[in-house]
Amino acid sequence: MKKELNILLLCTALWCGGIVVAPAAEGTWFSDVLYRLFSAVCHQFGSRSFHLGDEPFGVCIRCTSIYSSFLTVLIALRFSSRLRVQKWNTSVLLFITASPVAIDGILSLFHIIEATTISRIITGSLFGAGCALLLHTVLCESIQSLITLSQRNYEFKT
Amino acid sequence: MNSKHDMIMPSLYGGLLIATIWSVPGLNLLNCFCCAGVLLGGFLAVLLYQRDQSPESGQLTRDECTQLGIYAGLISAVAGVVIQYVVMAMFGNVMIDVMMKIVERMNVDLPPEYFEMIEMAKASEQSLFSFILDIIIMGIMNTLFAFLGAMIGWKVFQPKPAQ
Repeated sequence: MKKELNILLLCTALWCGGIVVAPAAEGTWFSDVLYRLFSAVCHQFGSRSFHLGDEPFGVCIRCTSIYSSFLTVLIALRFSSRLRVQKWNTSVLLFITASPVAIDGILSLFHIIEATTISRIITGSLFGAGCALLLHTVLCESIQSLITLSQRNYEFKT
Repeated sequence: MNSKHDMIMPSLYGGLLIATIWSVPGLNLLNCFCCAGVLLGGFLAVLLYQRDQSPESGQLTRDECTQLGIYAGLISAVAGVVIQYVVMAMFGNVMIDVMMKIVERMNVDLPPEYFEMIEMAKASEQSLFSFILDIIIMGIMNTLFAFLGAMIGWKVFQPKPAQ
């Protein structure tokens, strides 16, 4: 399963890298492509994003926190076999990690409690970590299935 | 085991939910929470598929959930872009203005960039190139996130191992 986890880690790292590369490569076609791609998954409001120089990241603070904590937990899973074999109650984990981000967003949306950068980082990171713990096994299995399928196709062709 | 035919309706409902959330101004705010609308669509496809399963059709499998997520994502990309373009062609900016009035009346906390973005979208020219580009981008992103939503669905509804 380590090989699949490495592939997943690489893909996530590329995704997170793209968020930072978008402002770093500002003015190039590559940056435009990245901003356009990330616009499909995030509102990209400048006032709610981290900045590199004058340019905002590819996604907002909350999304950046989600993806970076997803990556961090994957790294932890890669090096901790104890964490890898740990069984989680799916519904409980999903509720604990997703409800803070939803509550923070809804309360802020309706002017009840203003969301801050810190609250966005904390709730986003919690959700990202929960997603990584919840999905890493099934994503690794999917990668394994893809590898097996492509190997079978290759053998069939040769 | 269910045939692929049985996957069409759940995927369609999931895809249409994503497309509706994505293309209606105001409702698309849901996607501000890390594509929650898209994740929800993938999850809904698995929920509906799992609900329709009978004992004869066998247990829910991960591969089925993968397919449901991918189908829902692809359907949503095409449906979302088509709905948006059809609504724009039929009602022009009237529909957007109506939705924006509703959003303003709700007195929700939105940065000025949101309204600037809507104004830019209203002023932008719709061409065949942007239509195709939108479908490609939405196809990639919606498929990826609907797949993740379907995987969450799989984790929630996967059959419990026998004791």
